[in-house]
Amino acid sequence: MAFVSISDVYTADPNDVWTPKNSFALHDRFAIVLRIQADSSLVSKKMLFDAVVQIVGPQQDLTQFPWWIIDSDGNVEPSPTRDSTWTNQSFQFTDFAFFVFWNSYFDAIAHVGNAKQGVFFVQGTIDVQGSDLFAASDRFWFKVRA
Amino acid sequence: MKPEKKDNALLKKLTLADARKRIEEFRHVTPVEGKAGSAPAPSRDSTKRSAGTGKK
Repeated sequence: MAFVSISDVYTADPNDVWTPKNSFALHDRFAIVLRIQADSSLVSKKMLFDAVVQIVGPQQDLTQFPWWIIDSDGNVEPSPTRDSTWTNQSFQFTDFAFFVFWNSYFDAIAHVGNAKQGVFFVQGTIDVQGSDLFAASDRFWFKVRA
Repeated sequence: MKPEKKDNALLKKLTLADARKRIEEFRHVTPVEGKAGSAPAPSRDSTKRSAGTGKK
């Protein structure tokens, strides 16, 4: 029976996506890595998946310092996750890393208030197109210092 | 690399009420899209690791 799973999720330096890194300076290079295992039939059938990786600011107390953004109407609104969505990704391998990276952590959350320093986490999902298959990761905590 | 002076203002933690008062500092900051890539897992008996090639 076909399967797909995310065995690990972590942040890393994009130059070494196989080594988790849990502390970053604001302008360090930054990657979110999903370690994925897939049935060989997904590769042979050239199945595609959609992936979402999220950087999450866990504080949601609106009287304190939750993450926020300015919406298209110019209003300040809570926005506890920074989502990056990727569609039509192919299964090229049965055991691989899918990673999303920025030249700096700052680039990833430049538009998000209260996200520049603190303790946050990442997580991700993959959704195999045209099938019942999907997988969700655990969460991986990391720190950002200014 | 030190943050630019403008970034220093953005670094300050703000309550939503404070943020509403200082909205101009963020109004023109737009999201930067990342890039994605994939790479096969290194074989267990290999110490050489590859980061693969990133793509948009």
